[in-house]
Amino acid sequence: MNDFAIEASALKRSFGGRPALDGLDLRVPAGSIFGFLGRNGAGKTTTIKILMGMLKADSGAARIFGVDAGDPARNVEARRRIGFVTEDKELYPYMTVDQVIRFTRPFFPKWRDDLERRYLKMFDLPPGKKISDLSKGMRSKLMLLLAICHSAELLILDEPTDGLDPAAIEDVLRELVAIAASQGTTMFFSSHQLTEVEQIADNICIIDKGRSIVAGVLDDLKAQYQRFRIVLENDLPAGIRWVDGVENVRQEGRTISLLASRNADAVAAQIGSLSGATMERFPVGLKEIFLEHVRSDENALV
Amino acid sequence: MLWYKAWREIRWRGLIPLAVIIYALVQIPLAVRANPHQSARGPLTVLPIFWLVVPVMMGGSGVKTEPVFQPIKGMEGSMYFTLALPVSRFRLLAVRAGFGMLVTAAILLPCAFAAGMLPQLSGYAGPENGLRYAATVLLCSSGFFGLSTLLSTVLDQIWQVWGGMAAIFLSQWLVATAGLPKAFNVFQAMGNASPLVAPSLPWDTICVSLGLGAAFFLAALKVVQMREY
Amino acid sequence: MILRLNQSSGMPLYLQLIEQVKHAVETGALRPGDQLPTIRKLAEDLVMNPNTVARAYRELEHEGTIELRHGSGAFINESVTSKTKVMRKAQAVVQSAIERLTGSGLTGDEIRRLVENELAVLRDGKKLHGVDHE
Repeated sequence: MNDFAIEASALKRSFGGRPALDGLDLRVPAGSIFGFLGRNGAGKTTTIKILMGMLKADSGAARIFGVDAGDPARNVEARRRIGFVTEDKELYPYMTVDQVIRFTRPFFPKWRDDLERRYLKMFDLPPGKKISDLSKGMRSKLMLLLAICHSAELLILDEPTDGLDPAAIEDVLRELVAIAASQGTTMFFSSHQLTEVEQIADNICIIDKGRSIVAGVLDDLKAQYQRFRIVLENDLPAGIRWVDGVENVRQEGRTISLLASRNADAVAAQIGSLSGATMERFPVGLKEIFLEHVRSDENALV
Repeated sequence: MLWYKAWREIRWRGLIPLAVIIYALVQIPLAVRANPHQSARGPLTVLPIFWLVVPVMMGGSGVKTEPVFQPIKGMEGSMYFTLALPVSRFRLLAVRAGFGMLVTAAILLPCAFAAGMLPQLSGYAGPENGLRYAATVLLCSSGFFGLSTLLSTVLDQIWQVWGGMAAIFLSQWLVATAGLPKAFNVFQAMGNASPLVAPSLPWDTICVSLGLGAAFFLAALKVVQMREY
Repeated sequence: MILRLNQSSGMPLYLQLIEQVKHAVETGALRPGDQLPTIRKLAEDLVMNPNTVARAYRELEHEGTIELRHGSGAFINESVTSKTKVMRKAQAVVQSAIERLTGSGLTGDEIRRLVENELAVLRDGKKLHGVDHE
């Protein structure tokens, strides 16, 4: 029995010489709701495709339920336990909503008819409508229905709320949370919507340029990260070596803005030891953590 | 439900060759009536091409070619949904190919039988003639069916069809210039050496076709297992 | 329970939840013996992660504010004394202290830093005496 629903270590994958994944490590605890964040092109979809057995990694290991994700003999069974929402939300255009459901249902012995009825009604999906006539938001909802209704142990969702209005998003998040609470389903979702991730994820990983740069329990990360605003009377000592944990130091005039990812108290002590410096501390939200790590900044001193 | 899906994705691909063939068959009596002195040889050399169009169109069963036609730009993403299902790639290919074979048989058998019954081609021979011709056409097309299946695992829909057509003409050219052994000459087997003309079925070509078809199909299976999407 | 959580603030959600439960107890909105929603119901109502709710409940139980009874749910500990009266008096003390300090020319932020500093000293002092509240 594995504690981790998904595990990846040192995953590497290039396309035509360009590295998409450059040594990615990932550990998704069973029963968690895991937010996978990154800019476009950072490697999120490549990672998901490797986990689903659609791509092979050049090196490194990827395991789902303890089983090698690329093992063709065993990953069919793994997929029976996984609910998947694709990035493009594409289904068979010639089928109707009802036909797609009837097509998908027989593959999964643990299909929940009650959830199917519930979501058809909640998401307002007309059974007789052709997939090609559905908007992107409707297709997102249909894919979610298909993923959730088969009692999956693990949901892998690529931008699940793409195309949905705020009320629908709230409905979806509430259903995901209800399922997590009642069935202990592990959820791994990639998203651009930081607010959604902050709302329901307990673990996160930020990926940039093919590697994981921040990972951990979201609440703990928020407790560890601190923003410091320092106003100086004198210049900083030349060649100052900041303590471990200082991530970004930016200076404009007499004001320095500094982000610490951990050791906040030691950082505060170091600032306190600078003569002629006044200091303010602020808590840091996910958006700030994300932007600090994935954006390049000309004013950065570190 | 995979069979239903295969049927839905194949529908239009089946109608086009059928229409073309019916057109061709209708042309034969008209052409012969116009030129009563021309022997059956003329149409018989051309007819095989029409037959071979069918397996070329029907062989597109690799996962890359779903859905069949893409009327809306960018709808090829449904293959990710299919690949995420708990179905082995082998089964995905096998069901679509199996259905393709059924449709191929459904088109070729009656049409070839009808051709075999055309007096202009076979004289007034009995229905076993038609049956033997139909069987020959079907069995000898298996090589191209396998090849199309293999092509469809690596090429997009349109390119797979062009590739198959190119293969038809390439093999005809090879036969004419490079002098392949007679067993490989599918055109003769369906044309001038066919049961319409010769006394027995061209067993050597049938065996070669079946062998090649199986080999190509196995290669297609291997490709589909290894492929990345 | 009527709670207001701010997901995008830097304050961890489980801490926010703990604070709000404690505040409800302090103001008398929740009384000893009152039942809290189950983890599942609270997670659904607030649309938040059930593991986070569970963590807050565990912490509250550890601190003695609530009691988790197997099979029945979560209840405010009977032994928790309602601090409403004390809180009202404390509020008056703090109010007058702030008035006096601002009268001496201190800004709000300076006052806040003084208070945090003193609290930190108190905390460290407890550590020295072997009481670990971290």
